[in-house]
Amino acid sequence: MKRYRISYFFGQAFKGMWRNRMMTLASVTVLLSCLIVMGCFAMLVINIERNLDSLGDLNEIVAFVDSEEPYIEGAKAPLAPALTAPGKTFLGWSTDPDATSPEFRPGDTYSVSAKDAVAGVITMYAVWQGGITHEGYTVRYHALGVNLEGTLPEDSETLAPGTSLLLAPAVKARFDNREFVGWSTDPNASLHSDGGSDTAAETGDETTGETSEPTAPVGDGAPIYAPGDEYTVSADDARGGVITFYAIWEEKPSFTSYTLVYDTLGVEASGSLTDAEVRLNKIESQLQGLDNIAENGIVFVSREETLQAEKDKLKDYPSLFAYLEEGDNPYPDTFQITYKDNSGVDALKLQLDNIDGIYKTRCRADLARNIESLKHGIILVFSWFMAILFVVSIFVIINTVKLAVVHRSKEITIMRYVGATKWFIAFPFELEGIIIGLISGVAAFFIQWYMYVYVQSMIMNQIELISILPFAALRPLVLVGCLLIGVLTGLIGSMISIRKYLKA
Amino acid sequence: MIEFKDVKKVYPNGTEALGGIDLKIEDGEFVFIVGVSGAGKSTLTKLLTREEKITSGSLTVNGFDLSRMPERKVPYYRRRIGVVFQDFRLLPDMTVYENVAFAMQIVGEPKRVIKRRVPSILSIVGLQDKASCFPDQLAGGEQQRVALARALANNPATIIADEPTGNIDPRLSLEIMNLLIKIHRKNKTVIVVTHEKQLVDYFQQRVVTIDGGNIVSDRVGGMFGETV
Ligand SMILES: Nc1ncnc2c1ncn2[C@@H]1O[C@H](COP(=O)(O)OP(=O)(O)O)[C@@H](O)[C@H]1O
Ligand SMILES: [Mg+2]
Repeated sequence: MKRYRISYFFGQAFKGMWRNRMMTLASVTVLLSCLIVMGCFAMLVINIERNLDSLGDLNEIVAFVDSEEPYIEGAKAPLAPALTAPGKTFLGWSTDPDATSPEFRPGDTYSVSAKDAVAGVITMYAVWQGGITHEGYTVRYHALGVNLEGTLPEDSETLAPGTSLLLAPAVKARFDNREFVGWSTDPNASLHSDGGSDTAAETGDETTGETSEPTAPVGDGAPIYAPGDEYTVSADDARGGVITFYAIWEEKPSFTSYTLVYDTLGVEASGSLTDAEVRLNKIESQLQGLDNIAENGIVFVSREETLQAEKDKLKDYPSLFAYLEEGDNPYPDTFQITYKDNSGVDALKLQLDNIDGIYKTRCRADLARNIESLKHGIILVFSWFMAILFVVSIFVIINTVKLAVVHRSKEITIMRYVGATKWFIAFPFELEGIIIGLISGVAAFFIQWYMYVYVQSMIMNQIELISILPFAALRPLVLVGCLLIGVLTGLIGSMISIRKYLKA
Repeated sequence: MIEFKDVKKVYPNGTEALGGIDLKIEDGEFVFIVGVSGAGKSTLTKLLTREEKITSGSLTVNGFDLSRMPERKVPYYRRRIGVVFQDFRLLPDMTVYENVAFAMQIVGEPKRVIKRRVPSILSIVGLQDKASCFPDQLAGGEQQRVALARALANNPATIIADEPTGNIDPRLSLEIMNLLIKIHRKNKTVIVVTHEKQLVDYFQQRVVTIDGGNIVSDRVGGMFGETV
């Protein structure tokens, strides 16, 4: 078996490259750029893919809830569950503090009604077995939802029926020129008998305080006392042991949305006692009822927690941090829901959107889909870009190798006469192409390595949210890719340029 | 053995260079091919080297059927014949030694074989002292001897020389011809295309005369002058 000397081929190849060194340099540069673009693109896509994976893998939906949104007329409000208090039996809820039997059972749904509201606030009183016995009454003042200059007069001590007291002086509205008329135990009391019906929403419920002696009988219904008037405590004026004097204004503030508060009537009880809590609990229990939820898959993150987390993240950005520090908490309460089955995401989302109080959901899968389509866009653009660069590289290599071929065309003719096989003639030129490809590939690899680490450190420092693969993980791929594509390009280019000279 | 049977060659442009050649050359023969310029002598040698394909007829060389030879076998066929051209066709950036060794390298001859054979071939053509010269440092006759050495490098059975003395000082032509005769004595078939009447007459070998693409005479002896 005859053997060909490798050194001959390499010698010829390097001679050819050296003779046309400028062209060789040009083709290395072009191919190098082509490979770098390809590599960057590939690494970008891989990293997007990776972030996609981690996003998709979390199987997480974030449900944004608003538990403090006021109710409108007719809205369904969940009522708090039963309270427990030592020595007391809880019966249910009522809008009447003196009720002995509950209007609503614990956990019932209450249909919000304007007539239960005082100044936009609906109070649910706990109904206890046997009722509450009041030893005397407390006098309390109420601004009826108007912002006051100064503060309201404070609650009185407990007073026995029949005790006299002087009512508080006039109060003054803070922001508008609302005229203070006087105090009344009926929030709906009005100065003008004829104007009684224009505050329609507040009329109707006048069962209490109607029959007390009218010291200053003005207007219709309940009497309106002038500031500083003497008032004798009467059990008839009390609701739940409290006699409330409402500030009566010439022009009553009107409310179209309502908030719900709970009142245990002075009993120390345990249980959720804010409407927000009740609503959150309701949402949570509804969430628990869904099928596609992983074990312990529902985590409540309060707006305060979110705020704190964001603050921690932004510690190094004083201006952003200050914004969070000073302003109102811009974050809503959220439930972070981990689901079991990725294919049921859409159904789950729909179910979530239908739960009262969840006003928005954000699905990792959604985000993943967005990034996915971004990825497709990138792939499309870069494919074209790459195709063009690839063609250009091949052309430059064809021309470089052709220079060597033309220079040696006489030699090639002689080789053919002496009986050189095609591959023997072609191999030095192909080797030249391959070496150009190899040099470009190796250079591209190291340049990309450097660039990647540089960009990575930059991004890692700036944006924590993005996870970037370490270069080590990409190294084999980039190296093999660069070398392979480089060598292939060089080989194809040189094969094209030598083809014509190989005809026997 | 070389055998032309009714070989026609028509070039793609329509020129009929050979119009039905019948010629038989036995192994170990020495043949002069003579004829005026344009007669078709070079075409004949090109058919033998398979540089051109025959248009019709059949051509067999040393058992190779050239009319049916696939492209990939051509190199191996060419290793069995040695060709010398009027213009030497040496590689200018290689020494005499390298030019000869090159032909052996191409066929994958081991270095050690090359090292042994090149000097002996160079001594056949009388250039053992010029091994490290470059072609442009040599006289025309010497260059042609290098070409001849290269043609011999792979020990072919047949040597084909197309006007080997055409570019050489006439006083040195005889020297080349003597070399070819010497090679012929080593039991090789030698085909020499030439113009040189005196040489043909001098050597008294078989002479095939071509005119207008046809063989007009084929005899032994120096009858070159009579036929043209
Ligand atoms: N490659 C070619 N294409 C077309 N015609 C050619 C070619 N080579 C030779 N011829 C023609 O063929 C004829 C024979 O040429 P050639 O064999 O070179 O003659 P000689 O070598 O005897 O001078 C001439 O008419 C020449 O013009
Ligand atoms: Mg000729």
